[in-house]
Amino acid sequence: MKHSYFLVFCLFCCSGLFAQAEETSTVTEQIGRNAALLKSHDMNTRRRAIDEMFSMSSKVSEMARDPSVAVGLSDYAQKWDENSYKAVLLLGRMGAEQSRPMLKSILAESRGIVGPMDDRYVLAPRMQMACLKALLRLKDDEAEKEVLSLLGSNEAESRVKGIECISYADDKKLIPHLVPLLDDKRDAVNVAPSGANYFIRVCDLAVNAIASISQTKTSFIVQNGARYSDDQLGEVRRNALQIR
Amino acid sequence: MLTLEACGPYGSPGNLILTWDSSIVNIYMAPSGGTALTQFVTPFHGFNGTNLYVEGISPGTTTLSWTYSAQTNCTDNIQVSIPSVDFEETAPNNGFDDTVDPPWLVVPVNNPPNQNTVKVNIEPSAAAAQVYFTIDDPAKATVSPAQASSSPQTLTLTGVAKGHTALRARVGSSSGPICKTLNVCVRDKKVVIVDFHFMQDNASNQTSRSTSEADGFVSTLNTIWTPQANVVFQKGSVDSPTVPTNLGSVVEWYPTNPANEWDDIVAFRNGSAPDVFFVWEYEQDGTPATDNADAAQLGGDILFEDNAGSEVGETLAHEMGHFLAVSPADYTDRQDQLMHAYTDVRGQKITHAQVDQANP
Repeated sequence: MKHSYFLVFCLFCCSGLFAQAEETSTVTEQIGRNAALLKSHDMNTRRRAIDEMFSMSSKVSEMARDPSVAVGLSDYAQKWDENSYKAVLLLGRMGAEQSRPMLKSILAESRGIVGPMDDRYVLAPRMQMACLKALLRLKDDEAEKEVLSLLGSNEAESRVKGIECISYADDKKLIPHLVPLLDDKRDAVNVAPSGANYFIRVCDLAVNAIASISQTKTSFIVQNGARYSDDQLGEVRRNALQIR
Repeated sequence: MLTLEACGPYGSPGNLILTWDSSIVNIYMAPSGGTALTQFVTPFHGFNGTNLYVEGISPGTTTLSWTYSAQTNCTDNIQVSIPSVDFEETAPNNGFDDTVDPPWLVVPVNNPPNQNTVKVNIEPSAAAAQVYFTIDDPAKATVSPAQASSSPQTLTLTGVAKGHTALRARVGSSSGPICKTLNVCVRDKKVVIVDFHFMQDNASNQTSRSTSEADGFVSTLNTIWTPQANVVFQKGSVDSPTVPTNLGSVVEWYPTNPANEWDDIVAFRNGSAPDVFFVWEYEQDGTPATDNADAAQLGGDILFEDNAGSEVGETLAHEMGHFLAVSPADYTDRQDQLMHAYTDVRGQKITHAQVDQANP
């Protein structure tokens, strides 16, 4: 009888391992398939492929294992499609160091675009932000200087961009730069549905970023769309100053 | 440029005189312009020829007369036509945007026959055949015909590849001076698959709309968005889920708690955006007893109530504008435009700048 239990236990464990291996294989196949589809001549096929890859952002380690994925994403990023910025962000998240010169090149290119006759005009701001985020995540010194300058700006809009970059870079070392923004109570982002107004402030965005990067517990629920009380801002400030 | 010459016996008396209609042309001594001449009279004796520069100032036809005062039958006439060219839409809301100068025309690609049309008004119409049309970048779009034959003239533009280029109306030849420009925006077909959800809660609150209405909504979305932006909507899944709580007579998004009932509804979204949720009544301003809102969008989700006016397809097209990141959004001027804020009074026009945002 004991042997039977042992056998069932072994079968259970093996099936778990097989299931895990199968899942990994499916994910790898899915990534490979979508990376290939990024070369499609059909814009909608490319868009669906990058959207699906982007929704698998948590699987970047699997993406990074296959060198052809980074190549495919780099090519797609340089295509200036509607969602090319997602490829840029994935390259940053994958830690694709080899894509750094390409990201810098796109960043410079996007800054040279003037006027709506250039088809890339409406995409340029999104591409700039994506490149800045990806480069910061790749620990690029110039990108870090630029992001810190955004945080130091007096404009709320620039500060929001800086917070978004640091949140994306997910680097604890950068948290101290967010602490001064906990005092900035200017409205920054409308989180209401269309036709309504409900703004969260620069300080609220800073709280969300600090909580997300530091993963420290707070006595209150941190959620996008919340306006935090002065006590809650104070708690996050104290926690942030203790982060090494 | 006009070159004036005169020849005859040396030392002849009298003057050479050029006359013109100054309401149609200005004449200058220098190619750079300057002060327009009011008359041109010069003694025959000592005249060795000169160049003058003619500028059209209003559409029409005039005759430049070059005469010799001592012998009035010695005259040379040149007829000058000053054509005026203007572009105009061939149908309302077909992708032509004249809110900016030069105007824009959206031309589709990857959506056969990949064509759009524009009307050209040429004045005087007798000069129509003097107007030629060229495209700066034929790898983006082509134009037909290449020369006007009458006024108004309808041009057909065919998309070749996504991008921006310009159509030039030229005078005299296909390399003549440009008298009018139309910017051309070639847009690839963008397919947007919409999932429709006809909602109810566990207390018998439910939308009065039926699942069979989804096709009608898709049809109106395409009537508005496809000709203007080459965005094609397709029906995705259609279902009628039940929220496992009592949401009451009004589904609310509370300003002081952004999560709330909105999240109870959108929890039923399917895969990729956008998702349209038909609900019985929706409010978002903290005054649920007053029916202020008809529909709203947040991210990939759209909530749409039963009492949303009469032009419901147009209202959904407006919300899709929000979903497609069109700006400016919800303005209270420009009533002819789709992104005008108010239900049933808004129009369906989408500007070129908005097309670039919706289908970049």
